[in-house]
Amino acid sequence: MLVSSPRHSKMGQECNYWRAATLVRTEKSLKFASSHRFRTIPNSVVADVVEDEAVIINVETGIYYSTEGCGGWIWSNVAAGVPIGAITAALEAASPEFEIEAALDRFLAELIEEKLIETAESGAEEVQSAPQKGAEPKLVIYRDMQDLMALDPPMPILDEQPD
Amino acid sequence: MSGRLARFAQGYALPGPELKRLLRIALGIGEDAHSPESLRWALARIGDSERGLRWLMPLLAATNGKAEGLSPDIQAKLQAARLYEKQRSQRFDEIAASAIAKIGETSAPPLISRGLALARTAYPCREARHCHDLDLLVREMTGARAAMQQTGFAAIPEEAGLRHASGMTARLHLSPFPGDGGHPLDSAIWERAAPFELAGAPVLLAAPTDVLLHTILLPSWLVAGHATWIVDAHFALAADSIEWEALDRLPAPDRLFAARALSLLAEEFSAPVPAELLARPVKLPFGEVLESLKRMARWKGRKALLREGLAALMG
Repeated sequence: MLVSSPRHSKMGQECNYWRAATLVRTEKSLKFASSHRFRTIPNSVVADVVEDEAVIINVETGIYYSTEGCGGWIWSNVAAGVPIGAITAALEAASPEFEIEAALDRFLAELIEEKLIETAESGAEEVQSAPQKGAEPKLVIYRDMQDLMALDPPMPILDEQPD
Repeated sequence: MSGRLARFAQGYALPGPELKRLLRIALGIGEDAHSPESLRWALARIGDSERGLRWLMPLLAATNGKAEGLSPDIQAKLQAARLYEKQRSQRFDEIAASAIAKIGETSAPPLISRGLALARTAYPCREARHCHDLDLLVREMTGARAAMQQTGFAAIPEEAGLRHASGMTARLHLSPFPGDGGHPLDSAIWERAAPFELAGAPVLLAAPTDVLLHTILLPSWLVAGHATWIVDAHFALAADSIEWEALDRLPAPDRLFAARALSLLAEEFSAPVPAELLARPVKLPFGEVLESLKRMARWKGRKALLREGLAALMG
């Protein structure tokens, strides 16, 4: 479990990912309770999932990501706030050829480290579908967004945040 | 490209071979437009900040995002570009809608044409058209500017434009074209416009024919043209309700510009322009040309272009 007092970002928002990321740096194997839920960081992360492949943009950092293996499916469910236990059970039912708990923990730790998800209090109870791709989840990081996109204002969502 | 058209293209700030190929790939024109090699070639150039072509990225993503044989990194780039622009354009339209609604509270609803109008009606999806700033046609300037300023826009010092708190810029216009007014489209564009809704705000949408004319004629007023007009015209021409006889009602120089622009679009970008229209000679009564030149004397770029166009026609 992640236990810490909330920190605040420069934008004044509660910043749960900070405490999670701190733990990632000190613990090699991050374990989450089966009831633990996450959500995407509001106002800075946008994502789209097509055919179980996710593309995620952190608008605040200007970095974008794609997923491989069953990463897109995991992302969909993590972003929907499905408890980790339900996600693990669905993966186990699909009998993938990788060690589920370790791979899921690594993947979640990376999402936290990249400031894409934070702890949530509520969300969907069940996964929406079975995972279609059985390979180990991976997050691919791209840092060339500024080379490729017209970044003139308005920024997508950041300027809606309160001071 | 024929010699006459090539000379005209120079004056009209039309694309050279490389940009032409890029535009064709972004528009999905030609057999090799969707090949991984073409997309890699296009991405390398769009990513070059010196070229100022990043506005093409969302269109490239919309037309080629599902092309076969793409490497995962190219797919991710295209998807990310589209996703980013989707979110951005949603924010853009919300800000625009807020301003449009406020203007409409005290006067006639504003009118949208060209980029934003085409983005909402003709492009494959809204995010395929990157809108750099918001252009609105209004009936009355002072009240419209005041209304804009109530929705987070502020006047830009020493410029006619307005800037929103988000950084987004906007320009209000009384006429579709720069200059001192008097163009037939000034009133016709309002008369033929239809009610439309932009993110919940009532606005007027220029008729497809007027959007096309506005798109292909505006560059003739600009000293430094921008290739967006080609892409916009490509989608404007896809409308099935273009009234081609409207070309005959244009003033003399505009008939020339429209004819040359349509020729180029048909020849280089496979635009669906009726063959009989392209084959028809453009009649330019001398008196009408002279009168137009006098009226537009202070628009140096347009005058120069007209000179180029006349030379091309006679060439």
